[in-house]
Amino acid sequence: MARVYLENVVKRFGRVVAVDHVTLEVRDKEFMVLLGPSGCGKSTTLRLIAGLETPDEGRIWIGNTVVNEVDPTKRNIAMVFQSYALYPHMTVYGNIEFPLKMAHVPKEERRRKVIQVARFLGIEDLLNRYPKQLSGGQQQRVALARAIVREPEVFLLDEPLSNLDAKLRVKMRFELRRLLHDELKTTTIYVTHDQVEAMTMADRIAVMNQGRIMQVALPIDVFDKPANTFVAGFIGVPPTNFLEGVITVKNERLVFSTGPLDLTIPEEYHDRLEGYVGREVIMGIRPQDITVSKEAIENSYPAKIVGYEPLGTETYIHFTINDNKDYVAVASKDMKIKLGETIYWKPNSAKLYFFDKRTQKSILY
Amino acid sequence: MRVKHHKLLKSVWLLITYIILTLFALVYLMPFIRSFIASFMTWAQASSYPPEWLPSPFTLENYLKVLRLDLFPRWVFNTALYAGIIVAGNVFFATMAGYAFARLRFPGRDALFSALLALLMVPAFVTLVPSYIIVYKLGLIDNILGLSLLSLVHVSSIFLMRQYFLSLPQDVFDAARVDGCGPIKTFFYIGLPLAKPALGAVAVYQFLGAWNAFLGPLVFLRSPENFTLPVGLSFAFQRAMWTEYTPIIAGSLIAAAPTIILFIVLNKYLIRGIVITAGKG
Amino acid sequence: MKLTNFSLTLIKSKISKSFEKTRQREVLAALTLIGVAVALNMTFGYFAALFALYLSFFKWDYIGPMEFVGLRNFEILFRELVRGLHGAPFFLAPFYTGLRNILLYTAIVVPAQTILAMVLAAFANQKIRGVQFYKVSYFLPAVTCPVIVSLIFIWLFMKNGLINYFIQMVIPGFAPDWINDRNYLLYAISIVAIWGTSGHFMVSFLAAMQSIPRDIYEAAMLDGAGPIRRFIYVTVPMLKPMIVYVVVMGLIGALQMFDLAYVMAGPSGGPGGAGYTMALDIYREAFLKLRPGVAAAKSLFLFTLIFIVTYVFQKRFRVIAAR
Repeated sequence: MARVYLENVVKRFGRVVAVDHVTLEVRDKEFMVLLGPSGCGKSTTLRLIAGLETPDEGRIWIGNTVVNEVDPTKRNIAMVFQSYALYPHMTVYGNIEFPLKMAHVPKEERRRKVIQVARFLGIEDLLNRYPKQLSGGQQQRVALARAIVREPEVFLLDEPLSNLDAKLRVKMRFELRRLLHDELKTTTIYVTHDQVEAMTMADRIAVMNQGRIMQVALPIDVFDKPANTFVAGFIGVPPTNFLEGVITVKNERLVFSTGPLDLTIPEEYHDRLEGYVGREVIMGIRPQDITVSKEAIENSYPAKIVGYEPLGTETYIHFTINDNKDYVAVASKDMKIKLGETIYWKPNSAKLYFFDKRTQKSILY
Repeated sequence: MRVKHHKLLKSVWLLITYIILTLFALVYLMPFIRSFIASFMTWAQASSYPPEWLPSPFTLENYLKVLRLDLFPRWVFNTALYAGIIVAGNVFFATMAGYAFARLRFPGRDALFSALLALLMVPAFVTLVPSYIIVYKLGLIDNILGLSLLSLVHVSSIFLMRQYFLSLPQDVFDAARVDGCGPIKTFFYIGLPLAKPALGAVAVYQFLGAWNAFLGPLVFLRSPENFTLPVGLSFAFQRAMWTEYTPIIAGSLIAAAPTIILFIVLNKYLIRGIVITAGKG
Repeated sequence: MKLTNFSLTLIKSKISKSFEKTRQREVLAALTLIGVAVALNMTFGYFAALFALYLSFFKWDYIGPMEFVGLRNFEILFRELVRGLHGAPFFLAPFYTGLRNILLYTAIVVPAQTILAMVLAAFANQKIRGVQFYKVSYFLPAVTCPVIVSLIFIWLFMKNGLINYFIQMVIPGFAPDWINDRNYLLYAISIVAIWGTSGHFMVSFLAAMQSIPRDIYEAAMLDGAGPIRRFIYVTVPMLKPMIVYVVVMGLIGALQMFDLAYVMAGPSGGPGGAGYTMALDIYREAFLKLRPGVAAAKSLFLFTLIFIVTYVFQKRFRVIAAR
């Protein structure tokens, strides 16, 4: 059974805490993506699992064994590096063969396995070439082959697609998922800063920021039910709009007051927000969940247009509600707008997020 | 148990590493240290067995003996003169040539440069005798100037300067041209000032080479008054100028002092430069 | 019509003339700048080399006329070699002694300095403190004049000198008179050479090692290679260009070695010619025996030897590299 479990792991570099009390379970055969901005600690976490760094506190389990003190040469995990780290002085064949050689696999069997994996990845024609003669995509396949040939318990991938051009990246997203999860059925931990990769490839996503895990959930839940403002703001393009305000009671109804605006809170949130009357909260709404119209419609609020970005498929409209902040809404491309114009925006009441201002955590989920 | 085993192995390995590295550092430094100490000892003490490590009595006799020898200060002067000429020659002429090969276009430029580069493959002994004959016919044997002719503009200096000029962006030179500078003016006003780092490198390498040179001075200098330090000291040793060895040690240290001090002061740059040259080789 | 045609060609010729002028200026400037450099190097380089070739067919004593003797000088050279092969003593076959000694010396020094340099660099290529101190200490011998180094080592190699003192600690009773004993002189010279150059090469190897990207070592670690196997399969192969450079430089330097021998063995090569080298022989021929023709022939032999050795090494090494 190849589950990976990090128990309260801490890693410091000097005074910087790169990994801050991280507890995470990756289930057997699961495709887990560690997602976060640069410097959030995801690569360091991966390296801790690989054994390239040792934790200062906490324990790391692979299967049923604590591997803190186990040498990386003996952990039975394979890693694909961002730079691929191919051995430049060996041919493709030599590169793929290397881990088997280190494991003292006899020559004939090595040959058999290398050819098998090369065929599997469609690179059997390249076996006699050297890494520097290969394209980026080909090099990546060789790195993959070298990882696969060992039949490890866990695959670790560190931003493997970031060096490829956009088109290839899209293609490889599907391929990698299919290969590692569907065909090889091996536990995989994949690090990236690209949310599209995370959303399309992961069984579960672990969102990280500043060494901490912000949320671990299914992709759809990370999107629909963000656990805190960071996740809500990180996932989704354009980013979630945040409004700061207070929950008050007006005319016996719960209202979210922010600056000039009083937003009536729909029924479905009442029981969870009742306890927050008089307290400061942050409301989040995604640009896609805002309807924009030229005329005032029911439950809409006025705003002034301060900018717009026509994308061809749709238009991003930037507007203010006189509290010195810009908000973004996504509108149909056919809408005709002018700067300075007044429009009316209406948030989708089913898609509101509320966060406690002090803890930044979600009140709803 | 595995935990402790792993950590212990690592510490042991590190300890072994430090021991070996320090041991060899001592090996490389010991001759210098020992000579330095012995230069203040009497020969009687310096040659005693087992070796002693504290000069007692502490004496400056060895240095005085060396300096009292008429020839020694002359040797220092000759070596300095020779080194000075070589440095000046290389800095001046190699820079000009390096610039021309890098920035100017003229027929046969690349072929000529390759031909010069090929010269580095020819061992000194092949050209030694004919060079001697040429200098002899010029009447410049036993003359520092005659000796200097051989290494005045060493190919390695030309190579270095050319590499450096090639690495400079083209625009600055184009700007000069547009401003009306002819090629020679561009060299003096733009090229030369920009080349200071490389000039420094050439100067230092050539100084080291010239100060430590032996074969050339041995062959081209005849009278003891004209010797450079290496030749002079070897001469003094072979003629057994002093009955003891310690003056030779003292003299050797004086001779080696400039290069050692220069190296210690500039060690970061020197080591980096030599490593880069090796990379290109 | 004709007028505009004419003025057009006039303008064109004016432009091309000024172009030519700038071109000419550039060429002239270039020639001025390279003049001294090229003249000196051509004279003391190519002209000298060609003259050496020419000289090798002549008998001369620097003063009188040059007498053409065809291949006689080479004959003398080979006679010496043959005589030496048949066991003639040193003074009858000096060139043979020089050749034999320098080959032995090279066979000792080049591998030793290369391997020592690589091993030390490998040790230094870890996370340790004070690397700069080690680099400076190791490199110091290389910036010191070989003659000075020899003079100091003569003293250290004396029968009751420092080196025997340290050896006694490990092998009591073993204290040869390195300088005067014909069985040990060449080894003494070899030791001095290794001491003088290995530090320089160590620094070169260290720099090359440090340019190997860290993640390749990490990949090897995860592939199951421990520290020694990482050294064999990653470090050494990736160091190949530097190894070739160090060995070739080492070979060229060793085969021509002169300074150390001249000082430690003396101009006559030491007891029984134990410290006699080819370079020393060429020097004697040219300046002591006053036979520049023979010296030229011998120097050409040396040149060819160096060329063949380095060429063969490079060829062989490429083959091993491909495997």
